[in-house]
Amino acid sequence: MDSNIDNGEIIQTIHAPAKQGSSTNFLTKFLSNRYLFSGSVIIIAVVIFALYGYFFPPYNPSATFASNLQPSSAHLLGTNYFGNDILSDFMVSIIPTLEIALIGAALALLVAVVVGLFGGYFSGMKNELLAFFINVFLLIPGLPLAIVISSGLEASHSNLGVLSLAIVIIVTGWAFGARTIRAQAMSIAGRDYIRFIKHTGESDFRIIFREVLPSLLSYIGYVFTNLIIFAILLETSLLFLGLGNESIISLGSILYFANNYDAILLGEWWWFIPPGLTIAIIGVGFGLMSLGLDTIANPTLRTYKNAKKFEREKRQPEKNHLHESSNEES
Amino acid sequence: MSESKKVLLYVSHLKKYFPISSNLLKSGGSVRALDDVSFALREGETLGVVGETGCGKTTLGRTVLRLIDATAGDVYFNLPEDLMNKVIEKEGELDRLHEIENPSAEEIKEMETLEADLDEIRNENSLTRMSSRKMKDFRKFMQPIFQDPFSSLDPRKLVKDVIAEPMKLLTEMSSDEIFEKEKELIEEIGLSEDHLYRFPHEFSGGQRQRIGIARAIGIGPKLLVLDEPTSALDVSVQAQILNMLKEIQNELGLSYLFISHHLNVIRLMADRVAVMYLGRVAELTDTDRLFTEMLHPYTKALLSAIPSIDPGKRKGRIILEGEIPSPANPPKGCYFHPRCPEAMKNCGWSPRDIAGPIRSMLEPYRNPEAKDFPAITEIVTDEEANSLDIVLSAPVPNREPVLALFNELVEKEASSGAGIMFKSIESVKFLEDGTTIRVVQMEPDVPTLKEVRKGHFVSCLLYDKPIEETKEEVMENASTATSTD
Repeated sequence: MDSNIDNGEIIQTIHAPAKQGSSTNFLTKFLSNRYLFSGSVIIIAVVIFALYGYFFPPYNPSATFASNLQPSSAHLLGTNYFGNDILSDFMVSIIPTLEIALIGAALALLVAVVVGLFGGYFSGMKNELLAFFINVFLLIPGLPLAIVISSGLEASHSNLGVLSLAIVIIVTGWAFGARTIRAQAMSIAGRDYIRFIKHTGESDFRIIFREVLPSLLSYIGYVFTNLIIFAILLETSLLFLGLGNESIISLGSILYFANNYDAILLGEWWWFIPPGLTIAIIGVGFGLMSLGLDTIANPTLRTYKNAKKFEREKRQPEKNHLHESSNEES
Repeated sequence: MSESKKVLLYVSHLKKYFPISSNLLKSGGSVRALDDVSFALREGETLGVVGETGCGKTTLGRTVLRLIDATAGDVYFNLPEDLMNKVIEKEGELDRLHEIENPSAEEIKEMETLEADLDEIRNENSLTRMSSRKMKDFRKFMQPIFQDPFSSLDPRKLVKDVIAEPMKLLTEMSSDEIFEKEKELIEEIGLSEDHLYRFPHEFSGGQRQRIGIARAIGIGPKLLVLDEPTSALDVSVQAQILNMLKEIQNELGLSYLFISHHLNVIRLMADRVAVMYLGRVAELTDTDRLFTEMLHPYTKALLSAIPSIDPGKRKGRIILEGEIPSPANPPKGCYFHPRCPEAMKNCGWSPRDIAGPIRSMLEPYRNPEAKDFPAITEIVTDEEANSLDIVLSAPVPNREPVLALFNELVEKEASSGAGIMFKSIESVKFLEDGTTIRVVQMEPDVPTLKEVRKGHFVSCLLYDKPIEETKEEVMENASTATSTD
């Protein structure tokens, strides 16, 4: 009985390090992937700053002071033409900017993945038709289309708010992602191992979602990060041109007002540099993440991890045995 | 191979045409990748399929496995013995009746009843007509092995999961049973248990191919379709894989459909060999006989191309002229006739073969004897009617001498070495307008795969019974032509 209890304890101790091993492995892998790591750090820092600013701005962004104040200890970035505190305005508007970009990019990604996967997996008519649509959307110049759609939506459905920008992002953004995913899906679908699974009689639907989709995760991550960058840029350019809903608070609308009230001519850099720089930093952060994702999900970069784990598990019972015999001796 | 063994796979008149899509709305004809292929494969036997690039070998393998759907024809696999024998008997009888040139009413009726009988069996048992659910029961017993070991294994899965896949999907084995089986398999292919926990990219090409073999034999198949299994490997590894395949075959009594372009590999592996050319089987016989007593001119050329270290043997090399014709637009008659060194006048010569030679024959700079022939503007070919119009630049008042000159020139060309195609000209006459000479060629005979000796099938007019005379006739004509000169 005693030895049995011993056994149980030992088995528990075997499992613990194995689990630890895999989690530290993931962490070291994450840390060693410099692109993904630095990109994530940038994005996390921006998000923390934005969250803090969203809930605890120095002043209420709609509170008015004297207009066009220079930066001072009371107003770190001065005040604008309307007399609002620019720092508060800026801090509050980062979260809505990210929110619109994420919603738009996620929906565009969904469309891109569905069209890309089905277009790439099937051959013949379906493929041709979807490829035709993708190409048509790629050929339409993005910004004019976005301008037309957003002004149209503003005129007819002014209550859409954030959603109108999301729709613009979906319509102009999905085709790029769909083309990338379709090309990869086509390459995967033509491989012999997919043919082998087809031979075992699996349905097309299951092959698409269980075999093709998982091997495209790295590309989907890559497409998603790129779509976010695209969405932020499109959103800010539309708002900068004054095409969005006036009520939307965003980095783009700050730039719009800065431009309209001659911040550049007056040399009020504190009005337009912080939002512009933030957009650039967010872009760099997601860009680095997309580079990093590409390497982390690529299977040829995986190594002997599992074999080592097996060896470890195999070695452990031997130790266990030794332990047991020593126990018996004592 | 003993004849008593049961037939496992019977392929009957299998056809696969790939449509050529020139644009969205218009179809551009089709490529005949497989054109009427029939053969039988017995249990424990290896049938080698050999041929040039693009002759339809791979398509054959994939169509048999129904990885692609056949255009027409039937594949019978793993049927009960009496049913299989019945199918073979009926299909054979139907083929015999189809070959009768002018069938009597009785024979036509017999054909119809046979066709009706067979359709019943076909709908029930032919893999090409089965629903994909029913197909699943048969897939268990036939497994593919692919050419490229780098794309045939899922890079995201551990070897353990790769090998388990068909067992999981096609059998009811529990995961413990599968794992036990896997351990057995991995030992059998000469790897060890810890290799199960690695990813495919951590292995060499030969090891990957072995993993592919383990995956295929795991669920106890009866037939392996090996599509150039060793072409992507280097020679020493090829030998390993081939020996392993032989051992596995002896152990498990598997049948192999072994597709390769490598003649020596085929010679080592196969019991019988099918030689394919442009989607058709040119010759099918036992391996030993094929390599020693080949009959089809294409096989002769193919086998003479095997490299040899004996300089004496190199002399007999037959070098085929020209390119392989496009399978989208194959030649008439026998597909091989334009390149065949032994072609006869009825082998399928058509205007597109002969237009060029006629033009150069009538070119006075090349052929001084043609200087009296009136100038020509163009040569129009009509493949349908098997005729060719030579359009002259002006009407000829005196037709007889022109025709006589033309016939004389044709006669002369026909007696020269490569002039067999000129013998296919049946009639030459002027059309009403007086500017066009119409040359009509004979309707070609189409060779079918016939058993010329026991177990030796050849698709060549040289070995068709009635053609034997024509061949002599050709020889006779040639000798008279030279004597009159």
